[in-house]
Amino acid sequence: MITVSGLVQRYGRGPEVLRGIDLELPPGRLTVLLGENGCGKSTLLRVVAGIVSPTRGTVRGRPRSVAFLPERFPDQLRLSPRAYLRHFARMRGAPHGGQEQVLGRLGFVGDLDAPASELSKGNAQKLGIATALLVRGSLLVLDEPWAGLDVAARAVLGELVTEAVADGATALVTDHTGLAAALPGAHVLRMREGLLWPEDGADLVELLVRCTPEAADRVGRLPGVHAVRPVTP
Amino acid sequence: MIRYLLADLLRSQRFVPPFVLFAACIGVLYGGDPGNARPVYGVSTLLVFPLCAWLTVIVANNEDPVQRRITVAAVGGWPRMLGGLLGAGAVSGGVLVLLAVALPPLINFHHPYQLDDLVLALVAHLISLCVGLALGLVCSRPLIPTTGWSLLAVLGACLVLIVSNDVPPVGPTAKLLFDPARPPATLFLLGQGAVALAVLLLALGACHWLGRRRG
Repeated sequence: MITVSGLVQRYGRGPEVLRGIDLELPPGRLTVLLGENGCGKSTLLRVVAGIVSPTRGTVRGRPRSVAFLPERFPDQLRLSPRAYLRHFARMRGAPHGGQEQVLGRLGFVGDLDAPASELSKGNAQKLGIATALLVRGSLLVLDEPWAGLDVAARAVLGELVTEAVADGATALVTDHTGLAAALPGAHVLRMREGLLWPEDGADLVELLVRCTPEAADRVGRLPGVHAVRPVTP
Repeated sequence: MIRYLLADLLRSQRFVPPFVLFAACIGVLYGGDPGNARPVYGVSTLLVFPLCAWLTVIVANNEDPVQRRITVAAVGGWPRMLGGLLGAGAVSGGVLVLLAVALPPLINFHHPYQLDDLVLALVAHLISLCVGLALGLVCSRPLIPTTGWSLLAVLGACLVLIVSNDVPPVGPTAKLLFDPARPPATLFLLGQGAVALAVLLLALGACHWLGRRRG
């Protein structure tokens, strides 16, 4: 169990981005963070992943190696995807072999032995996901993992996260697409004013609206709208 | 992690300029009759210091900042990350040290090389490597975010330390080599080595403190 207590984060002399976060992340649970852009979700993820130490508060029970996937996976990697996965498998103590299976499931297209900088944004993101899922039962800290993926890969990522959690992984995920919150067993929290609030599903109303993608984007930005996701007719 | 960082360094080819500069300087130093072994080793001690710092900056700044976050999380935090950077910097700088110490007896037939000379040169170059690693770590991310400013900081600090050559440990160690009549004092070298290690530990502490705060 990973326990986050009284987490406060402030950058320099600026305002507090996190204002006393308490959070329990038991193994086998998917925790989904929702919130506006810039509300501190990514900061919380970096603190939980052990990349940044908080101004105040503690994170207890974090495993030695954490799978962290940033919002934009770097697309200028010089190593090939195969070499990158091999090095990270070694660093994270993952079993040898089979590291490319996740890439296959995600529909990765590209040369596994060419520099990863030649990959498209979506395929680079798939490489980042495959790297994050190298170790079973670990702590997954995923910042907008669905961003930049094609429709088929989005569905597969949902399956992969569900399988990882069923395998005992602890997952902390931010997501603007609404796909993470819809996964089975997702514990959904909303970050507002530097604090976490439970997302009460009882007040959610689902509406089916036929509109243009631009209008859907605008609806998604309206206050009180939890998520907008496209539905295939 | 060291293997990963070195593989990334090799792919980037950013190590080439310091090695080319090193080869050019060694060529100039040992072209013709360079004179007695020790004074020339003194010059290469001063040469290896900024080059090791430069290589360390390259190793430390080689990863994209976002990629660095992924690596820090994967390896288990900043202490291990710094250990990896130190190891990769030591391996790349160690190649320079080995070349600087082992190459002269093979290419300079004008003067004999005693075992004492080689041991003294190795210790002096290792002291340069230690301080170069410390300077390189302090002059790179997370303290100085861009490589251009990093290199300027490294060059400035090296110039100051080399010109004011009484500041331990690189200057006094090189001065010991410049004077062939002066016997190598074990205690003196141990003292300079201890200062070099202390400087390295201080640099690691500063990088750890800042890395954990800036990410």
